[in-house]
Amino acid sequence: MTLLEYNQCVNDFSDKIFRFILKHIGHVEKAEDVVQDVFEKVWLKVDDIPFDKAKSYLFQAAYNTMIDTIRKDKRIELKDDLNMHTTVSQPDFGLKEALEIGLNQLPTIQKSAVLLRDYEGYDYKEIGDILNLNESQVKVYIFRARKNLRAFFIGKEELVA
Amino acid sequence: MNTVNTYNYESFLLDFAEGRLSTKEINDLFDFLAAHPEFKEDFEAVLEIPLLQDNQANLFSRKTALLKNESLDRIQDLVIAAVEHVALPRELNELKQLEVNNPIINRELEIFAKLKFFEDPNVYFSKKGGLYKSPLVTFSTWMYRVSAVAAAVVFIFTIHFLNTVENGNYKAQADRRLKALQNRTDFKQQLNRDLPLFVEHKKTQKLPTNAKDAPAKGISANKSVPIIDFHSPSQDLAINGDTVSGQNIWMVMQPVNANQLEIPSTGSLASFTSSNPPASQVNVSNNDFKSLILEESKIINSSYNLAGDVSARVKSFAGEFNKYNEVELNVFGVHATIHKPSWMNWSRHLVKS
Repeated sequence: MTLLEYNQCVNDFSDKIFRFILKHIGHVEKAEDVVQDVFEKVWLKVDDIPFDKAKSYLFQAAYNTMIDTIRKDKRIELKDDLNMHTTVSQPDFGLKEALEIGLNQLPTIQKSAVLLRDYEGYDYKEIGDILNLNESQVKVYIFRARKNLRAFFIGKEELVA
Repeated sequence: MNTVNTYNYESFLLDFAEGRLSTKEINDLFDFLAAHPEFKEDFEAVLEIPLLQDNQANLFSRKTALLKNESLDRIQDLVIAAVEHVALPRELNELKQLEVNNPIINRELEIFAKLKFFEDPNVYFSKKGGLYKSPLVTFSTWMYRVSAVAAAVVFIFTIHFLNTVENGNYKAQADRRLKALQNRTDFKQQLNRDLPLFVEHKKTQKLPTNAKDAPAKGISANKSVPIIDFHSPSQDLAINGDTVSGQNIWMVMQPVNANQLEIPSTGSLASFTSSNPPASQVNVSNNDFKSLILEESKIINSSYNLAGDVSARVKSFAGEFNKYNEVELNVFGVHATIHKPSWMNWSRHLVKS
C-alpha cells in the first residue's frame, strides 16, 4: 500500500472504524485512541498490506485492539453507553433507541458480528476473518444476536410496527 | 419365579405387599404360610409397611419455560436466513409452505427486517487529520528543525537570486537550454509559459565539493537509498479541471536548491500509481530515469489524461545528490495540450540516508 493509498484508507475508513468501536465501548475518547492505535499499526506495516485488503485488515486490527484495550482497561464499562439508562417510557423513544439498548445487551462477539454485517455488509467468511471465527460460528453468532434482539422487542412490537 | 420356600419367602412377602404377585403366586404364598405358621408374624409386619405416595402437588413450576417451541425456533431461523439473504432454496420453500398456516411469519419477516443497524453519519472520527501521513511525518524532530533551517536558507537564497535572475551565466545557460528544447519537435507546441526549470533554480555558486560542506544526512552517491515516496501536491497532479495529456510523461529526479541545472544521475522507480487512469492502464515503459534534462528517460509512454492522484515510489538512484538532503521528483509532459505549466513540481522531501 502506498502512502496515497494509506491516506485514502484514513479518508474512507477511519469514520467507519470509529463508529464500530464506539458502538462497543461507548466511550468517545477511548474509541478515538483505538482508531489512532489501529492506523499507527497499519502505518508500520504499510508496505506489507495490499490496498485491496486494507479495509478488512483495518477492521481486524480494530477488533483486536479493542479487545486488548478492554482487557487492559477494566475501567471501561462496556455497557455504559449514553443510551443504557434510557427507558422505553421516554417520550422520544423510538426504534433506533430501542435497538441501541438491545445491541448493548448482546455479548461483544455477537455485537461485532452483527455490526460488521449490517454496517459493512461483510459476508460470513469476511466477518470470520476479522473476528477469527469460522463461517459457521459467525452464522451462529449472527442468528443468536438476531434472536436476542427479537426477544428484546417482545412486548414492544409497536416500535417495529 | 421360583416356588416359595424358606429362603425366598421374604421376597414374596414384599412383592405381595406391593401388589406385584400373580394370582398363582399369591396362592402359593398362602399355601406356604399355612404350612409354616412361624412366618405369619413376618407376613403381618409386611402388611404394616406404609407405601410412599408420590406427592402430585409438588410440581416443577418452571417446566413450561424449559419446553422449547420447536416450530417458533424453526420459523425464526428461516426468517432470519431469509432476511440475511443466506437462505437455501429448500429453506425458502419450507418458509413458503409454513407461511400458509402461520400468519405470524409475515409479521416476523417485517420485524426482523427492521432489527438492523445503520451507520449514523453524524458520528465521525474528529481527529482524522492527525492520521494522514506525508513523508515528512516519519522524520524525527531534529530533521524538522534541520528542514526548517534549510527552508529559511532556501528562502533567503531565492530572494537573492530573484534579484539577480537576469545576471550571470545562468541566464545564458537557461536560454540555451530553452532554445534547444524548443527546437525539438516534441516542443513545437506552444507552451503557455516558460519552462520553469530554467527560471527556478538560479544559483550561481558552484556545487560544494568538500564533504564537510554537505549536509550531514545526505544521499550517498552511487549507492542505493531507502525507498522514497513521492506524491503530487494536494494529491492531485492536475487540479481544478486542468489536464496533462501527452504522448510522453517523463519523470526527472532533481535536487532541490541545486547549484546546477544538470546533475548527472540515474535512478529507477519501484512503483507508479495513478488513480485516473488507473496505474494498470498506464504504460510505464521504462522504470529508469535520468536527471539530465535533455536526455530524459521516458517513464510513461503513451497518451494519458493524468487527472487523478498520482504517486511514485523511487527504488534507488545514484548520482551527485550527496550534496543535498532534499530532492524532488518532477513530471514532465511533452507534446501535449498543456493547460498548466508542463513542469509539475511534486512534493519536496527530505531523504533519509
